[in-house]
Amino acid sequence: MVERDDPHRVRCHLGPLLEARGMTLTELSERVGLSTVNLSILKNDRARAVRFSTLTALCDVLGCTPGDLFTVDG
Amino acid sequence: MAADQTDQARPQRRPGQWVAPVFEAVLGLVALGALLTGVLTGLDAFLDDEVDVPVRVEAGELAAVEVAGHRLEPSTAMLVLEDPEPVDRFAVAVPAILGALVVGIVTTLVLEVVRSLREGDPFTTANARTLRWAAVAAVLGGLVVAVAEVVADSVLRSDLPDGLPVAFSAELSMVSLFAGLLLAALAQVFHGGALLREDLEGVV
Repeated sequence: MVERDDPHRVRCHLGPLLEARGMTLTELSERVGLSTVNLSILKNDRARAVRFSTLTALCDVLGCTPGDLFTVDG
Repeated sequence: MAADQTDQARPQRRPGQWVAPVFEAVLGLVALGALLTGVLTGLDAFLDDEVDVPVRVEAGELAAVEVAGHRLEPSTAMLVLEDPEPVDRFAVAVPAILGALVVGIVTTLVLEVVRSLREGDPFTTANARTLRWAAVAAVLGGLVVAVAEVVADSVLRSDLPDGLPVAFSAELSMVSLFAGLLLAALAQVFHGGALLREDLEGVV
């Protein structure tokens, strides 16, 4: 959940997806081209927005859909 | 596979890598130059037997030089005070020292902002605040120096014998006002940049 005045209910499931594929954050960082810092921000639900290019790269590397990566809490 | 466009698009060499050291060196030299000028003028005023003061001359009082249809009319001159009184020495030294102080303070504040370029993230509220203070220092400092010059001018002219056509010589520095306005405008730009930066925080 992001602090400040930008509340939302989007949850990122990057952690479980990485675990299921036996991939580390560092490996994902190298394959996606995004820094581990930014990936960590995403994984820990501290991101405020995701670029489409980032989303595309993650889905390509993890072999998943955006719906597998993000859900909205009910 | 697609890579993060922003990471790839980010330039390999950041602008601050070569710009910042050059600006820092120039600003450092300006600050040092101002300090030295102030110190030397002050020392000069207190230690020399003769003190030189640039002054304006009343119009038409000094002979003009005319050659081949071209006329040179002197409007400024160097007033040489021989063995001046302490109060006259102060009158010469104080505006110069104050002027040097103002330049030194403003330059130091701007240098602080330029140094942040090295970290590659100059658009912060702290930098905007520093530039605002630099603007205030430039404008107020200019006013203080102008007031000091008016007082100094009055002191010096009151001691002059009748017959010396020295005109009122103090003036408000437009450079100082303009610098203050420019710095204030820059402060607003940096403030806007800081807000934009804040908007992008957490975007991956």
